[in-house]
Amino acid sequence: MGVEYVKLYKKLELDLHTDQPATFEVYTELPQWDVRLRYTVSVATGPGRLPVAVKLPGNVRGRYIKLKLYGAGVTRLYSARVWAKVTGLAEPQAWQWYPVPIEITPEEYSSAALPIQPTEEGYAEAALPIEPTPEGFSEATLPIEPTPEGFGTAALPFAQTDAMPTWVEIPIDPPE
Amino acid sequence: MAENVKQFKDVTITFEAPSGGTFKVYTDMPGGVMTLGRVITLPTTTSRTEKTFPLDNPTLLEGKLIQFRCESGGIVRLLGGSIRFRKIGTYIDGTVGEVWQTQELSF
Repeated sequence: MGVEYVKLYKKLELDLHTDQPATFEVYTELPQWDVRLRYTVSVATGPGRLPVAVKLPGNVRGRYIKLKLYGAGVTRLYSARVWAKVTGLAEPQAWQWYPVPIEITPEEYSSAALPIQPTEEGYAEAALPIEPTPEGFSEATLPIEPTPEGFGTAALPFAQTDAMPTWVEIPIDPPE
Repeated sequence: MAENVKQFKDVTITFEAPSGGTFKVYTDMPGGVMTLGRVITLPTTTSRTEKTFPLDNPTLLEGKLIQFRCESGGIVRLLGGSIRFRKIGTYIDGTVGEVWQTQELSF
């Protein structure tokens, strides 16, 4: 409906969990044209989450409504809505719920992994430090001096005789 | 108003603890100081075991931060783990004077 129409506020419903009683306050700008405190109530849920209905006096009206919640302990607010109707129109308007904009708390829980180094399900394989034995056999030469297939040549220990005769000068005395 | 506060539902741990052990959980809310919230006893086990331990009894553990510590007189092999949580939309920590207040709303 927006700000142009005055609303009459009858009650509020809070879905919350308080550790200690909390104070809930309702502010509107009418009739003084100034946003002022109109109603205060203490709300408490006990050990768990509960819906709490807050009935307002019959004269809480205004174009604006402002809500405030505080206390000495922790309060978790899951949702809130206002039961109101628009006034000042020729056609009477019906009462209806108006949700208060609150960040939603999901009903379900998410899951997050803990920072634990993962351990693998299977096992890795590592070789032991044992010198491997080959499947086949290697070949090694026995330490026996080899005997050549052919024959070698060796010179006999004689003085060599030249194949060609050598000229020798014979001294002959001249005739007298 | 504190933002990004989580409610912790339970923690699941996969472990081997031949001498048993203790698993401690710390959170920082309310108050903003890391405080011991739960002490979980790890049962003695000689084989790989997965167990889920509740964190919502008597009330949900809450915090922006969560910290774990595992102790034992013997060996504990932590093999894995996870935690279930949800973010609380509106968390008002009155112990540090927080107030929830809307703007002037016009429906």
